[in-house]
Amino acid sequence: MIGIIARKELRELVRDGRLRLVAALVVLLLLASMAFGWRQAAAVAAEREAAQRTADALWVDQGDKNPHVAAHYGKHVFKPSGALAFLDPGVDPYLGVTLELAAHQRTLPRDAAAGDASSLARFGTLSAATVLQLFVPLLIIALGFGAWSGERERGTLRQLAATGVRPRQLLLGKAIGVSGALALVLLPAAAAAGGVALALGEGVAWSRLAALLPGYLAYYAVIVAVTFVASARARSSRAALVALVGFWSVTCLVLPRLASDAAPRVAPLPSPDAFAAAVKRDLETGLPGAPREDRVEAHLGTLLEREGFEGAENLMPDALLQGFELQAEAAFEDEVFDHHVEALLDAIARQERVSQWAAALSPYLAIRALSSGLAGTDFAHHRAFQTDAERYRQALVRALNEDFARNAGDEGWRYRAGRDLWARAPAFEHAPPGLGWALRHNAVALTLLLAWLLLAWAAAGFTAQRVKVVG
Amino acid sequence: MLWTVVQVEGRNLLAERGAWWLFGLLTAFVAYAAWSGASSAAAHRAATRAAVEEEDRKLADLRAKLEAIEAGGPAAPHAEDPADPALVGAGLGARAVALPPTPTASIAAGQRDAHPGVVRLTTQSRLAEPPRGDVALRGPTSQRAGPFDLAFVFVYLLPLLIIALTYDLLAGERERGTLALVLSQPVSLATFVLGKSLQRAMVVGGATVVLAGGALVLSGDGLGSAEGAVRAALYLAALLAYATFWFAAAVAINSRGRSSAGNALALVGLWLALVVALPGMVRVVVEATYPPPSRVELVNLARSAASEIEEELSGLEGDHGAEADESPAATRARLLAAQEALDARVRPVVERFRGQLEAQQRLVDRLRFVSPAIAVHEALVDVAGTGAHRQQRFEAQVDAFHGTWRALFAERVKAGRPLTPADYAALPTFTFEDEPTGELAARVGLGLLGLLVPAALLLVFSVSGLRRVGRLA
Repeated sequence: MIGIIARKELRELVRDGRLRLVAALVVLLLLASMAFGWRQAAAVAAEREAAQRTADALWVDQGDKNPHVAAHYGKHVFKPSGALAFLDPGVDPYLGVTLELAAHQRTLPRDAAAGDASSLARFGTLSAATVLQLFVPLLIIALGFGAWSGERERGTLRQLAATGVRPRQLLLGKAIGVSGALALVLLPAAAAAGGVALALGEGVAWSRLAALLPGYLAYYAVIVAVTFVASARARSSRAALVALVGFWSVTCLVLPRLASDAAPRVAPLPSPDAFAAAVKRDLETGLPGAPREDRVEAHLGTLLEREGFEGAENLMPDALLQGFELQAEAAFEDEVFDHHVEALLDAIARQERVSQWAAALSPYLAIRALSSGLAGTDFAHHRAFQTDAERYRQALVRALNEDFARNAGDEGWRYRAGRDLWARAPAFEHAPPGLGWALRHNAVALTLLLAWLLLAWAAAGFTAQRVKVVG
Repeated sequence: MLWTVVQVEGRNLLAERGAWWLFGLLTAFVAYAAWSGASSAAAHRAATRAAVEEEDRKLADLRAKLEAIEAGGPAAPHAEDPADPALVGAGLGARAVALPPTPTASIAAGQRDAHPGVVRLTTQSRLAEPPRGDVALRGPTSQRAGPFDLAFVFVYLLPLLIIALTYDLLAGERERGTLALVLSQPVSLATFVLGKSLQRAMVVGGATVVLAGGALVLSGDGLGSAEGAVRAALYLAALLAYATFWFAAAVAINSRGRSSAGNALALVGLWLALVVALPGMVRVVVEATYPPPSRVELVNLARSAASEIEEELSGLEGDHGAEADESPAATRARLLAAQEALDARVRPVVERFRGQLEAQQRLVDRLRFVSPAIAVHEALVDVAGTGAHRQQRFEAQVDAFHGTWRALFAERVKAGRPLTPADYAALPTFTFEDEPTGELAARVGLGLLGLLVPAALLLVFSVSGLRRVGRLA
């Protein structure tokens, strides 16, 4: 029975010339945006790899100098783009990619692509994710808004009811019919995504790609259910359509902007000037309750104890003590930087959580967060990169200061190290976190998407039971 | 007769609860957008003013310190000498310059959060290393979605309201069976449609002017000036032209004689294509035609240029304990020369950057006619002064000012001449020269033609369709 209903629905939808045109347009848009995303992702990956090689070469070829001078010279690292950025660039364009790693400073990544965008940036970009998250739901609405109301208007719903078919069966059949039509649109896209992933080769996380699929399917199932509810309850197909377009524009256009306005009010961020001033102040005086001198002294004590020079400062060669002092100072500065930068990143993360929680009102916000999380293009992944880079920076500076301490000897500040030492520093590696990590960071969005799924289908079942046969 | 149709339709609309809801919703959105736009424009204004005053205050402090020393006070520590032009120029003092917000800045946030509001100018190269404060501290998801400003409400939501009011202009009458009845009266179909559209156009036009005007009056700052008045007038003209386009589109689609659900689908499809899909595609085309050079490569380029001047630079930075072999003055002159050399090396690349961005904007200026949404959005950001044209103008002026500022200090460093209180008093200040309002009006006006010409064409196109529908009814 359900099969028959589904076949009939599908045949009707496929035979509708206008729907065929719209579906063809969506497929075309999907393929075009994916092709563009592919080109972009390949170019970005090549560019950043080349830049990283150049930066590494600049570091190794910096010439002979004092190790601490080299620590000032520092090294640049570039953020590798997200694993599935070709599908969903997420918030990557709004995040910096260049990070300068040097002594006495913890900087924030800079050179976000958004800084160089034309004034059209406000319209957003046309990525495969945009098509999948914004346009496909409209296609579903176009496919399904007449599912109940159309039958009622044509008078066929009464006939159907007379045949004794159960509302649940009808609902399921119609859902399968719409899904079948949708599959005709999405299968080419899924195949293309797989193809691009293959072409991009290594670095693509297949498990992430595989996890995106059920995510999007859940999202579409929500839209199908909402469409059916509106169709069953509305007085006419026309009213159903108007209500559904209203639902779409509120959840996909209005709420994201309202959430974007609310986030800074919930978790305000300091102005760049205020942030810089607070860091500068604490570098001079120390964090509240931990004066600078005390902390530097404590770090120096720990270092000396570890190296077995405790209480023998006066017997140590000058350069050795100076090297340890430099390192103790660096350790103090790192405390200050970590305190301020982590607080800043925490506030940004809170802002991001506001948009995730707003998914309670909009399934679009749920899939948007989940999709960019799985694509590795959300703020959590950006932060993971920053954390790794900072760890690397601290280790690099420590290694250089300790080389100065151990090897400067009588030369003191005139001591010069060379290529050997620079080359000994390991290359910066950033392995993107795994699938489980990405899911955990989007647990709110994931849970809310599932809640939408359950509620929407419960409502669809409920309205199907009580659908008015005659308008 | 026409007036009777308008009056009857007016009464019908008043009786419709849905229409009240729609207007109520639009009013709420406009009110929120006005409040939000005003508060973010005010915050921006306050932040830039504070930053500029902070640097002015530091310069005044330096000058006071110098006067105290000259009056016989204790000398300043070596690293804080207010008479040393190299030190003061390199960062002890700075001139902060800002792009002043226009009276109508609350209309559209535009690219405001993508550009630093304040630029600090020292003798350091501004090209190689973006100064601190360039990194906008804002959550990326917020930046991505964009703010809920008036431009968003009018560009995206106003057409939806118009669609909701007009998709069943004729089809609704036919479906209810009232069209034949109406046409049996002594009224032509053209008059009937014209009357119905006119009534809705008057309502939407009136609501737009009242809401948009009210929002601007509440959120603007200094609208009384001649500039403010011109900008406000252009803003209202742009919105009315945009509404006219969507009315014309609705009449054209109604004239095809399809069902009201079919009309709604077609109009929503058109809206989706023009407001959501096309701008995204145009953006892709623009950025693919004139791709900006890679910032990432610029980093390395600046770096290798700097390391070739490394000999000079390594003399000071990081060599905490090394004794200087030469006089500090000579070192500083050399450092300054190094900065200038660096600037010269990096400048061609940065020029290429700016060139590409300007070329992008020129292409956007041409391609805005592809979609009325782009045309009206460009007009709104232009009027709000948050668009690319004003930003690029600002960049150019800052560059020129920076040149003057550096030359002034460089001259004193090279001559080994210390700064005097009189020098401090004579330091140049930056005033942004805005585009003449005539030029702005010309550019925005051209954009509005991009709305009105298609609207006229659509109306001409609908005449033939209406004749046919008249026969069918």
